[in-house]
Amino acid sequence: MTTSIEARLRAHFAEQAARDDLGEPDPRAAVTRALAAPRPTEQGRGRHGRPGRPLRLAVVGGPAAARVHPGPRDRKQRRQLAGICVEEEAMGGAHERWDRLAPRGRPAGWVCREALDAARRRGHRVGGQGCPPAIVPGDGTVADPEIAAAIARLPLDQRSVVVLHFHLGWQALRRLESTLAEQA
Amino acid sequence: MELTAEPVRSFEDFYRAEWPGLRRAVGFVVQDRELAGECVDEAMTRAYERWAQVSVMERPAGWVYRVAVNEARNRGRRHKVERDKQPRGSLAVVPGADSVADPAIAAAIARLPLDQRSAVVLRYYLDWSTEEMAEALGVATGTVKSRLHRALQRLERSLGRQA
Repeated sequence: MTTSIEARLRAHFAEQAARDDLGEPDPRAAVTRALAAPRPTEQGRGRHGRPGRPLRLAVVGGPAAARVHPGPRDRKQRRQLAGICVEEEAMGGAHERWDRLAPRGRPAGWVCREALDAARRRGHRVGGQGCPPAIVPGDGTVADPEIAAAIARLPLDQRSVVVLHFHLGWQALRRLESTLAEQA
Repeated sequence: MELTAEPVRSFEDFYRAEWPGLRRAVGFVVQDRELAGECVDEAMTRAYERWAQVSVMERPAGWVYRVAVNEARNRGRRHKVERDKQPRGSLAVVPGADSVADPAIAAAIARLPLDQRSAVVLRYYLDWSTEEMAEALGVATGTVKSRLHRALQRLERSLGRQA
């Protein structure tokens, strides 16, 4: 009797599964949700033992946003961690490291700075000057090779201002202009 | 059956391989296609968030299954529709009769308590071993065996009554 029930169960599930068309599995959906969805359960550290607000951190250069816990209190340590994270992020590395990051104030700007520092450090490690030289492929993958090459020849600080302003739409250029005007 | 550690694979490969089975299994267990979809999505999202830890588990799919079913339980609790607390003999929610492969057995499965239904689905749909089930459900192998045994007894009884 039991065996016949077992066979019937197997047949039922197999048939039922065959009738239920789920479509193609789409792992990107889970990845996007993991990176974008606010998670009320993962909260910042509030004062006096109370839970803080959920924290999110926009990652410069991609659609990714990660929630974070306040990390080490030590400023230097936090910056080092951020540098590691940004490097790993750039290489498609581990997102869970973000958990230990600590954005205070303006996280996007902070991450951008750490990313540039990390890139600089890497440049120093390989003995380069400032940042590894940009390579502009001439195979049609670059929209405007001429301007790309010109941008690549800029010093890192100038290049980052150009990118922040024209790519991310930040007000960096205007601020830089006014700073320069004040200095003049 | 011996448990073999799967090689660490990418989240994408894991998702493509396991999602359809898990999605249907959770659907059979929670008896709600939409709810199962949401809960498996949620569990997969959490798996991705901690993929470094999940990917080195013996059975990442077991972890995802457990998270998904717990999520369904919690949502059910929140919405006060605990399906496994249905009064005995009540008509279980079985979608349109012609879309059900075996309506009699589907109704009998729907009347099982959730833990027993879970054991039946993992064994007879996903074909997991007792050890794999124990790990996924976070219980002893003896518990899995007794749940399965009781589930089959109950199914026999309820099918016998219908016959």
